[in-house]
Amino acid sequence: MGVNLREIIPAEAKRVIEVKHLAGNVIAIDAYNALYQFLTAIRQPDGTPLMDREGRITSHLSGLFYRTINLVEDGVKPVYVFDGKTPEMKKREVEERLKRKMEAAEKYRKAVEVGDVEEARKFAMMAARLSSDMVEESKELLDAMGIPWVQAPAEGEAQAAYMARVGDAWAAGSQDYDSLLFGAPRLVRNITITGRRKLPGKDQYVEVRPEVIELDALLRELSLTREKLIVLAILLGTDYNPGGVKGYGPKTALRVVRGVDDPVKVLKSVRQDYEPDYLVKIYEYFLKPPVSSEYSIKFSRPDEAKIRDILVARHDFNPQRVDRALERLVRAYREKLKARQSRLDLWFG
Amino acid sequence: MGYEGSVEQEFKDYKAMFRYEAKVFKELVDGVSKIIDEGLFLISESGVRLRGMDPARVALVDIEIPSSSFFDYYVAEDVDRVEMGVNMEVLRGIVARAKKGDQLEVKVAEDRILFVVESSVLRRYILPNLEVVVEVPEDINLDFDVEAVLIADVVSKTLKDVELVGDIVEFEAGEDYLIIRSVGGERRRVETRLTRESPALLDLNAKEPSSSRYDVGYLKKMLNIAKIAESVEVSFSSEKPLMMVFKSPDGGRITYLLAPSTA
Repeated sequence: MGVNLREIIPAEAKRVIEVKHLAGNVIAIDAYNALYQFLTAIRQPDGTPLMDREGRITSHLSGLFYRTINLVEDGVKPVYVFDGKTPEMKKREVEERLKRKMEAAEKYRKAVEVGDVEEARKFAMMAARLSSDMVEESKELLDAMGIPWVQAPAEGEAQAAYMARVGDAWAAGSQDYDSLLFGAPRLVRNITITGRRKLPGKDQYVEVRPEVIELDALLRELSLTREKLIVLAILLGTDYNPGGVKGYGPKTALRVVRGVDDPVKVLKSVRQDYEPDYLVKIYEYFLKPPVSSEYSIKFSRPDEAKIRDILVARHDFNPQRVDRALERLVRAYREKLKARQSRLDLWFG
Repeated sequence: MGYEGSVEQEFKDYKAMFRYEAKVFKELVDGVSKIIDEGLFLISESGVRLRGMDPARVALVDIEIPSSSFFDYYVAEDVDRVEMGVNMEVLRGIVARAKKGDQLEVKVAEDRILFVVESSVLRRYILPNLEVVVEVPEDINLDFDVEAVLIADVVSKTLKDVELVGDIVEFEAGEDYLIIRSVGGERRRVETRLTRESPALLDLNAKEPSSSRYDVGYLKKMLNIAKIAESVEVSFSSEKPLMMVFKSPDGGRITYLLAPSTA
């Protein structure tokens, strides 16, 4: 879910672009976020996910395979960053999510019974769960595709933000805004869902394009520091304090954090609902999350036989369609990943 | 007051005006619009200049047309230069149907621009004068180990062959040869070798043997402009940018810079 900063992000701080404008850049993509999107979006009209003959869900593999190929064909260098251990502070949110998903699964079952396709689709998407098997298989597929992935010690977005901050990636890629709080200089949204997409609950389609949000521009436009932005987010609600602090909407929160020198004092003054210093703990977590510097970003030649084994032999993907995509992947590897397209700025001093 | 009168009235305070061969302008705009989305034309006493980079900052284009190349040219005395910001795709539409012999008149006011295409019929277009930010360094000083002059058409045709094989083109030069080649999958390979004896290679100066690779897609976009030039100056060094300079017969000059693709 992540923190919802959408309402307070000024138009000046974001740019809608084309995927090809990201050519040559490494983007550290929040893998769980992307896989959830594939799981929820890649479905039949009644919400049934893609499955193999044994009934195992394959929507995540389909998304990971075909959409990653679209990205590398456009010259983007994706690195998927997987979540590690769930922080203790997030446990409550995780339990809540599980409860909501179980309720949605029940509603999905009822909608199917009465034949309500739209409702069924809606609840099926809400009930989507990413199992550890799915995660392991996604990593196996990425290895076969020659696309690097990184294991975060804790939050994937924190790791992605770290990689962008130290310059190993150009931006973090996620739908959530948390990586900005974790200090990513840039966030690219919509990167794995670019294209023509169906609006939820409606028979309408929209063209989704990537959106780049620059942290510096955001802070400048809002007259905030990163520390103040974190406090603002905590007041509005994060995964570690869902719902936020009572009485704070975006406008009030913005006014309050702008008006103080030490934003932590705002958090210390909150008395309701939370253990003393709990909100300060969240603040410190956003500032210094556990991250790892032990990773390497290396693109290697796709192992076509292995990919066919995973997708076609194991999961009944259409062999012709997989072969056509493999051809595109091998070509993109040779011309876009192996051969590195540099930028002129390197020579402009 | 009729329509024509009101348009003239609207542009009576224009800051710059030029009249140019519409077909040549069309070729320029066609070529450049494939690289940059929005263009900032700087109009000064010496001439018109357009510089920009593609959004991925891989290619740079720099067009200079001296004021003497225009049929008619004016810049208000009270300004150093006039800025004309346009969406290149929109501009492309305006001159799309220009034929040989047609003339284009452009009047630039503070907030809008008037384009008049004088063909068998007179077409007028008014566009907003956009604020376009160009992030290109003012002076770019690059040294090249290889400098060659080639017949532009030969380079275009070579790249068409290269494209059939792969997306990367390699330029290699030694003391007395220049090779343009592409190596694709399944050992497919295409190569054009030019020596000092080749009529297509007009001049060659290689300080040291060099080779460098570039994206054929970008090169192709650049060579669109080759139609208006007879020859092209190609300069490069190993694993450094490639520069191509086209000179049109009327004194215009188009420079392209392309960052290398390194293996």
